[in-house]
Amino acid sequence: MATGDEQAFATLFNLFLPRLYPFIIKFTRSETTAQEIIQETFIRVWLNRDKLSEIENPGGWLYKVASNECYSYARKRALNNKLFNTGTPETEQVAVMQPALELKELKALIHEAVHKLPAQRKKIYLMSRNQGKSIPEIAAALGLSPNTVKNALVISLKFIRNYLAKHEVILLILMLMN
Amino acid sequence: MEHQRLTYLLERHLADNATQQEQQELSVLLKANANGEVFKTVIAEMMQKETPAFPVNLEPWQKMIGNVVNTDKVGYEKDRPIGKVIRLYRWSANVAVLLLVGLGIYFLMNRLLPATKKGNDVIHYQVVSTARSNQKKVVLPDGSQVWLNAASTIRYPDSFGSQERSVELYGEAWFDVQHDEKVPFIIHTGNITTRVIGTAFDIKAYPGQQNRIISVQRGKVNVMAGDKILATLEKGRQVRIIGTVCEVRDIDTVSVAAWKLGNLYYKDESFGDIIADLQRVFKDSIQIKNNSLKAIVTTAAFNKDIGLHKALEILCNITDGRLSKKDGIYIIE
Repeated sequence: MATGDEQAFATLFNLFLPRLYPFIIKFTRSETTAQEIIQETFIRVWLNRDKLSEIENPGGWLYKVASNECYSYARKRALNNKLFNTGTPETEQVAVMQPALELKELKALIHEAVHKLPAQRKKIYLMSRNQGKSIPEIAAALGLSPNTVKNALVISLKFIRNYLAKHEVILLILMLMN
Repeated sequence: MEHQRLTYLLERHLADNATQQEQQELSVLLKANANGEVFKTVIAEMMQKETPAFPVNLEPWQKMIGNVVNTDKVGYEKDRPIGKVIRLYRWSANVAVLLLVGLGIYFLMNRLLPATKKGNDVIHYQVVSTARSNQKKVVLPDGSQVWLNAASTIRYPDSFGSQERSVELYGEAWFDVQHDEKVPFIIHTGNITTRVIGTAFDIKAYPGQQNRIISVQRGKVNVMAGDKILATLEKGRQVRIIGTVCEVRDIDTVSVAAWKLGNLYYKDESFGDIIADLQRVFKDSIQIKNNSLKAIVTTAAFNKDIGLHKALEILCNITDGRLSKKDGIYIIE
């Protein structure tokens, strides 16, 4: 159930946001940077959602992803010879999302990947993600077994991840998973 | 590199009292290639030690959920309208395990959050969820009773500490709290907390819903945002929190948590919220075509037993909406 996934993700997000936020805001001292780090973390979680059931300790895994993000950010700053921010956290206005958070590049890459899928798989993928159809609905519409549809979706997601990895976007997560 | 030294330096940084020298040291350690793993481990440890807290301004974070789930949709030039994304939230509490077939973020919340460390003690949590059209009674470790309404989740520790009795709620529940003056009972719903000593009351705080409503049947309740008291309620009073606006009014105590008996009781609630509620009580999908309808303030009462169709007919009568059914989905326009 595609929308079921989104709902579950929303629950997961709301469960972990209060657990990640206090540290990250103190660590970065910037609401915008905290948003970036947390968004990156959850994108990784989202794009690996099929694996969550296999991971023995999903909570621990999520913290690991988040700490990776924090480390990369801090290291980048250090390498650019910038010290950690000091002083009180910025109280910038964050009502509007920054353009940097719009994820245009990532979306464009995923777009490319999806269009490289074989016709049938692409069709199933689009029915699931764009039209929000459930697996039984897709199976019925295409005259396939639900298992076939499910497998096609898992394979497509894996393909997208690999495609992103090739473009080094999400390399980190694959390293984590292995 | 020493794990202990790094923990110390990062703690100094978090507390914002690192000396310039310590900051330099941290910078040098960050630059060295070999330190990555230790850094990540220490950061993850420290992260888990922090006391959970929501950001003050939740709005951009709620938008983020839409951004993230939209990343792997293709052919969407623009992100889906936020309204739709947030609407998903209303079901979010149906929790995964029950719903997820398919690609499934199949997770058990118990597995996700097995334990938190507080000082040296490890706290284990229980998570109880209800599906749509479902209710559950939960008895907490202190003997307090919770009646969980549809599509809701509560998380509580195996045993409460001596300082406070804290639980987290997503959705709606009626509480009958054991009296204990020394150990306040605290319910966290997003950035709003409700503190009580011993009382019976209902909290309705579905993620994504416009209003958060707290109604008191017996005793006294403090509703707070951070350290700020938003409202102090006594028996027969109700507060609605819409954004930062609080509205307190009198209610009939009989109507508090009427849902436990299958009575659906809506007083001056928006049509959109009522429909969202009906979708939780019944399993069917209902779509409201025009936004102007959603905002109409409505009062209605009926029993669940009359069935969804009848209930929608009554509501459409009141709001001048037109009801139809297509592909198993109710449509109101």
